[in-house]
Amino acid sequence: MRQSVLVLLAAGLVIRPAEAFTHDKGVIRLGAEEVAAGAELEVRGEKLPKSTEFTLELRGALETHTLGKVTTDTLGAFVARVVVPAAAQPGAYVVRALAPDGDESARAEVRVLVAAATGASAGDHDAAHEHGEAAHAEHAASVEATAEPLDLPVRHGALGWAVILAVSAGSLVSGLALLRRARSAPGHATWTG
Amino acid sequence: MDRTEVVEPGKAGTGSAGGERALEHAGWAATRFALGGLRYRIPAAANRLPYMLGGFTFLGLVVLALTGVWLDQLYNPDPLAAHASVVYTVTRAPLGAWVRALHYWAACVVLVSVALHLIHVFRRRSYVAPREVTWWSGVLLLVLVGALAFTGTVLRADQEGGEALAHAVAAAELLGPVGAPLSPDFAPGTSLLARIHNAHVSLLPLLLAGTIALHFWLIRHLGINAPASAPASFAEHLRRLLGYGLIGIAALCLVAALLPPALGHRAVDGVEVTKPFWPFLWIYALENTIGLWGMIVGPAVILGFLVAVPLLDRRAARPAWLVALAAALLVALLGALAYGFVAPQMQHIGM
Repeated sequence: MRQSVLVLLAAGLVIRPAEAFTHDKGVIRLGAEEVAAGAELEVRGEKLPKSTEFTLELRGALETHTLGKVTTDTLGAFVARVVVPAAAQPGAYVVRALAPDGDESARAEVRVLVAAATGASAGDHDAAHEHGEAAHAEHAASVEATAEPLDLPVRHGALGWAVILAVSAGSLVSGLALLRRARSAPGHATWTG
Repeated sequence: MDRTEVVEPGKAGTGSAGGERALEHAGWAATRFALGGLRYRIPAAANRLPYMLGGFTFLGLVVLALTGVWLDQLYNPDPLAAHASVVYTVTRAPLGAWVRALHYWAACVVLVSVALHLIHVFRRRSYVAPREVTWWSGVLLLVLVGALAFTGTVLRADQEGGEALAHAVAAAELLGPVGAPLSPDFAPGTSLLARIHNAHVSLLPLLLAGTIALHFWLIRHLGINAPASAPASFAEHLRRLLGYGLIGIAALCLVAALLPPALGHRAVDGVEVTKPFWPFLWIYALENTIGLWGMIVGPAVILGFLVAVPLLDRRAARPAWLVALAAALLVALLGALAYGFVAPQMQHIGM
């Protein structure tokens, strides 16, 4: 038994996992770590496939915006100035460069702040940051507060349900097995205090 | 009952034959983890379910810790991103909605079981000498569990969470220097939400773990205060506790899958349109009645009474007035809780 386990462990170390076919990972550098919604943002790409068109995407937890398309030069680089949609909600986002087949080739994190009143650009991000909290409060005040819950689509999916039922069944069977073993011992549980 | 030996709480012994046999068969792990140490004797009466309420609470806390670790991988304590990260957890993260629901329902179970445990321990008079510190550590655990429930509510960053945070800040202002850590100016370099998050995932759990360790140590060495009865092994008690606990966890898993807790819209500052998490509704009712001081006076009265109990009951028989006072406080608390459910929504801060 112990030998079999050792053999299996050794085999696991020796056998190389199958190589997945993935795109080469490039690099995206942003002109600013924070940008106000509606402002421009400089995006630089490097180490990407040469002469290839990429779609730039701004992806947040709740919403995704397309920023535009760029094409890399013969060195696999690009420079672009994109406009962050004014409708983008403040929060943490990722700028992604998507290859023609939709796979992500590079990404960089950015924080979108509340839209500035007039013509802000990435260069104004310091001011935007300084006023971020105040702007957030202002933005919040402009939205009507409600006690109503969000109508969120909660779907566990087939795999999710399988995990939930497996954990539930495992707990139930283990619990019953423990109680069955305990039944013969004195002081069987009752609700009598 | 065919066994005539009577066991006094806390006395060590060999325990039941069934429990010993099972442990012997456990073999390798039993030896390496010194599981034999669990074979100390307890009164068989302690195998009744009311004596397992503390254990059920602990199992609930284990579920909370495990689900909490998962949820924290997805949570962003940045005030601008917190709510979106919770929505992401619910709508997109693998099993996120279920794990969050499990966390919520486990918290509800823990709050109920810890309250029932406290009532049972009071009824059994398990706070009299030499168990005063066991009782006080239990009161501290109640406070910590309450603080964890409160901070957990705030982390949602929805309207209810935002209002809870505003109440915490208002309470801190009322308390003056004592409430300074909850003031936004206490650490201007970081947001209050980030510090609340820090408290929820590190400070409070560390304090909780240390207090639980003390509580268990005292129970182990001072014994379970059950009626003198035939001997049983603690290992057997543990087996029953785990058995019922795992069945409860199975039920909890299904409840979490079928009844996901609500999440409100992103918080709007400066207004109050929600009521708090239901275990705090009795405090909300007090705020409706006597204003913001209600959220300080109410918990202070309850905690003051709980801390004083071992000092007020030091004679052979429990004074009747103490039981009457405890009953009055319990009825008042339950009444305020019920009123909190039906009370009209009110603005408390700035009134």
